[in-house]
Amino acid sequence: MNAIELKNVTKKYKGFSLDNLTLTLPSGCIMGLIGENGAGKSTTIKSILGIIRPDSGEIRLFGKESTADLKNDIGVVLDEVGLPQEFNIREIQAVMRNTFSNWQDDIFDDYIRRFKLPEKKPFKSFSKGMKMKMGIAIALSHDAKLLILDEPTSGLDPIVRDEIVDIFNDFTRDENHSILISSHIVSDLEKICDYIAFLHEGKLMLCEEKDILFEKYGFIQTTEDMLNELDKSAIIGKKVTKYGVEALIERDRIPQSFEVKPITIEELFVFMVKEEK
Amino acid sequence: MKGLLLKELFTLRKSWFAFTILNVAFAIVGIFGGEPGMLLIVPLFMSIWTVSFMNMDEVSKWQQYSLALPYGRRKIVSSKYLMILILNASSIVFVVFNYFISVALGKVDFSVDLLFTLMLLSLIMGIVYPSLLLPLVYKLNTEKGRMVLMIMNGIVGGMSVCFTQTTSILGDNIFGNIAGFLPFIVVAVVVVVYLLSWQLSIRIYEKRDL
Repeated sequence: MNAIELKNVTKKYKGFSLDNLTLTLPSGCIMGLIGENGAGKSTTIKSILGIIRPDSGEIRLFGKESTADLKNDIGVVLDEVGLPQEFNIREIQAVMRNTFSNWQDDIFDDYIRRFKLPEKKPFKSFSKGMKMKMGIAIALSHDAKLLILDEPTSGLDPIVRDEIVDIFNDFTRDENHSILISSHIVSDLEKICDYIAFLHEGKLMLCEEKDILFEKYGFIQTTEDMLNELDKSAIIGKKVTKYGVEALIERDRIPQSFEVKPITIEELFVFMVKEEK
Repeated sequence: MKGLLLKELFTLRKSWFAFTILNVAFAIVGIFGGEPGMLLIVPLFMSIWTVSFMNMDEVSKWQQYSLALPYGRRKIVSSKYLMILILNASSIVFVVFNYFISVALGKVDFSVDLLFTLMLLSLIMGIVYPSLLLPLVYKLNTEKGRMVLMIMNGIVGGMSVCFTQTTSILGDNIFGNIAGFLPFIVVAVVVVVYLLSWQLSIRIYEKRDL
């Protein structure tokens, strides 16, 4: 079963539109939604959660149309978290206990201790990292099967980011658990994702298994002349430097004599976007 | 729904102190000044409170987050309308309590008519004002909604002056026949306005992107 299915989802705004997005997240997998600021990541996530209404298209969660009740199985962390500013942890806990049908106080308390969050201070006094941890603690305390995370690591220092990425890794040890996570910090996604989806200016440029991307694409350093001899369609993008040319290529479409270096997801994304422009 | 109401009640508790000070101040003026009309400031404050909560929701981005929780839009709107009733009921109790204190202290004479008038006006202020405001807030946002209502207040105020002058020209007899039914008519109108506003807000919120 698929955790998330989007079919031809379109949402038009003045100056931006999410264009005919089709995306599938199989259950048990982690998908990273990558894109520059304004690429449509938040619009996609808000559409899935019903915060905004798409103009057209179909969205299904766990094979069903989204309902309020279905959200008991979804843990959400939005980029600004969205909890009442004046509330302390215990007040937020009381609200959530009466919100989720499968809320687990013991798990929530464990996360609060693990994250060292202050119980009596108002939420507004928390740092950005603490706010994110609070959002994550809630998302993980009601037996969710799917986490939807919008930029959960943005604005956090590398140590906190690493800690949070580890928590998401723990979550997906259960093969029924899935995560859709958006970020423009590609290195975080590279660590945990099974699938990578590139969004650029509201369009899905690519959606593929991460390992296949690594197998399929690579880097070569060569000269302009040698590059011109290659099949043009094998070249995804190139960068001319004073030492020669760096090119992103499809591995199986160039001669084996070339020394192909592995790529990072970030390099792949940057080259693809630049080539698109 | 229980979680949403709990969230509203916690928010109420957070701002309870400031509002209590204001309410007690007007209650003292009303009681010791022998002006029971001043007590009506309390339900007016209470009615504004719901909209103040919505402003806090906007600032904290709770509006978006609550839609990611297992609540439908209908329930989110309904929790606000239930809060209007809770706040109005408590403000009516407050007005009646203070009126009896005024009577006990000998500041005003007891009058059933005055008591019911105060209760009726408390109901109008506590229900009708937020009922007019909430659909605007759901359509626009709290700041723009308030602004539109202020303009509406001006128009209604102007119309009231014209209406008063017209009735004084025509004579008071025009309402003589319905005067006995007036409280019932007023209550019925308040209930209709409240229910229409509730349904309208749901319809607006169902379509709104956040």
